[in-house]
Amino acid sequence: MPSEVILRLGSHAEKDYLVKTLNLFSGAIVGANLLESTPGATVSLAWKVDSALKKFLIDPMTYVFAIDLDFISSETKDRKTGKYTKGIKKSFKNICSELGGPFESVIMQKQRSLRPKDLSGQGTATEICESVFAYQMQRMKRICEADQQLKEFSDRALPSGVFSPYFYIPGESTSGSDDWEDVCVELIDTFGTMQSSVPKYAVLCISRRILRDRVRLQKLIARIIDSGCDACWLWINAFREDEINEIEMTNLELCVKQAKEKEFPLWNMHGGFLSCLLNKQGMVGFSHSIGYGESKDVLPVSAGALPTVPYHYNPLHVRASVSDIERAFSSLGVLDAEDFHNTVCNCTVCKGVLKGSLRNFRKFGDLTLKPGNTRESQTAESAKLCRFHFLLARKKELDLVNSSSRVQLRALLSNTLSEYEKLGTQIRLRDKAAPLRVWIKSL
Amino acid sequence: MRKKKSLAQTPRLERELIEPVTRYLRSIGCHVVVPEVRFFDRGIDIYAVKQARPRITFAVELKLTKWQRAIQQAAIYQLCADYSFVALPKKSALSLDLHRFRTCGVGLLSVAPDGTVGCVLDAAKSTEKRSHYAKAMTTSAERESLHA
Repeated sequence: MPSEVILRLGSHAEKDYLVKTLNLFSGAIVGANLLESTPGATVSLAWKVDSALKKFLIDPMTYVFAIDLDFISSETKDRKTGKYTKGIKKSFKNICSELGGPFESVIMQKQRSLRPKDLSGQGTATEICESVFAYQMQRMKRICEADQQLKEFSDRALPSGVFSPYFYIPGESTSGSDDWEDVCVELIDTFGTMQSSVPKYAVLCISRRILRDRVRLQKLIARIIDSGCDACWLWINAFREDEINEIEMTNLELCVKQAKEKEFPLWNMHGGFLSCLLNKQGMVGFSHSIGYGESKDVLPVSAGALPTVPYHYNPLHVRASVSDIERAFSSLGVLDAEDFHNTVCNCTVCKGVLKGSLRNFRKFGDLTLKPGNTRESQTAESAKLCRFHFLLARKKELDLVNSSSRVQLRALLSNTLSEYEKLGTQIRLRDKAAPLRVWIKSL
Repeated sequence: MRKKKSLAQTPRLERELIEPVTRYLRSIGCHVVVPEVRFFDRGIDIYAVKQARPRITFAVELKLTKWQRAIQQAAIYQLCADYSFVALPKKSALSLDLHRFRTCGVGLLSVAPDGTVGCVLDAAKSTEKRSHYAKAMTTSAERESLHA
C-alpha cells in the first residue's frame, strides 16, 4: 500500500495551503479546539475535504486535560472592571462540557488536571469512550443544525474515522507511568469494543523513553492490535526523526513490522520522511502540519516570536536554513538556476522564485523588521514560499518512496550520504546528512 | 597608551571579546565596526567595513570554546564578507591545529586576557562572496554605525 499523508491544520490561517494542495494528500486533521473556536469555518472546511473525497478527522486532544492547565489557559480582560483573570480557554471549556464526565467534574469544577484515578474503572472508561466517540461523530452535525445557513449540510458533517481518547504515557519507571499506561490501554480496549460506522483509531501517545524500551513498546502495540480498533496512530513525544539513534530505529522498525504482520495499520501522528520510508516496512501513513510540524511535544511551546519556516532541502529530506544551503552551492556544483533545479528542486514554487537566477534563492529566507520588534524576522511572503515548497516537496517524496523499491531507495540514500560526507567539514549541510545513515537502516 | 582590562583574566563571556576585537578591526583601518548584524537567521557577531575601492568587508565569529561550530558559522559569513575570522581567547586559540582553519580559508584571532588581539592566522579572501549580500550588509552596517 502506498504511503499516505494527512495534513494537520493548526489554524484557519493555514486553510489556503490545505485547500490548494489537498489533491496531493489524503486528507486533513483538525484539533477539537479549532472546531470549538471556529465551528462554522471548520465545518465548511470539512465539506470541502469531503467533497474532494479525502479523509477528514477531528483530534479530540484529550491529552491536554492531563497536563498543567496553565497550558490551556489564557488571561482575559474584564471590560467593565479592567481586571485580568486567568482561566481555561473557551474552546477547551467547550470541549469539556461536550465530553462531560470527568472532563466536566474535574477540569471545570475542581479546576485541576486529570489524574489516572479520575479515569480508571470500567464504568468511567466506557463513559469517556462513548462521549469522545459521540463528540467526533455528532459535534459537526449539531453545529450545522444550530445554524440556519449550515442546516442543509448536516447530513454530510461526518468524520472519516474516530480517534480513541488518549493521554500521554510518561517513560520514567514510576508508578505514574504504569498508571497512565493502564488507563490508556483500558480506554483503547473499551473504545475497540464500540460499534462504529467509521474506522476506529487507537492513539498511543508515549514518551521517547518507551521507544527505547523494546519489550514495553511491543507489549503496548500487541495490546492495541488486539483491542478491536481498526488502526493505531503513534505519537512519540517531541520525537524528531532526524535525531533518531540506532536503538530507536530498530525498535520503531520492529514495532512497524509487528503491526504489519497482523495486518494492522500503523500511522505516525507527527512524522516526516522517515515515516514515509517506513512504509516499506508497513507504516501506512503519517501526519504533519503545513509548515513542518513533523514532531510535537505534548507540552505546548509557549507563545513568543513566530518561528522561522526554513527551506525543505529535498536532497537530504530535512529542513535547512537558506544560508547553510547557499554556502554549499559551490561545493555541490550548483552554479546557476538550472543546476539548482537539477540538483535541489524543480518544483513550481522554486522555479517561480528563482526565475532563472540563483541569486533569487535568498527570497526563501527574506527578513524584515516588524513594528515593535528589535530583531528582524522572516517575511510573511518568504514563510509562505517555504510552506508551499515544503508541501510540494513532501508530495515528491511520497511519490519517490511509493514508486521505488527498498533496494533503490537504499542505493539513493547511500549515494546522497557519501556525496555529502565528501563536503568540507565547514559546510553545515554535511552534518545535516547524518540522519540518512540511520534512516537507511529502516529499508 | 591602550586601555587594558582591569582584570587580566581569560574572558568568560563571548561579549567580553567584542570590545578588543572591535579595537583590533579599527586598528587595521575599518571605519565601520558593528556588533550583532543579522544575516538570514543568524547574527554575525561583528561585521566591519574598511574604506577602500572597492570596500573590504570582515565578519568575525566570537567563541569561547566550540571552535568547530565557529568555523562553520564563519564559513557561512564568507557569503557576505571578504574575510571571515573566528576570535577565541588566546589560551584556546594557540592550542588549536590550524589545518581546519586553513583549508576553509577562515582566519583566527586570539584575544589575550589583557585585551590584546593577535592574528594567529590570516583569512583567505572569500571565493564564496555574493556581491548582493555584501552590498546589503555593508549598507546596513554603515547605517547602524551612523545611528550609533
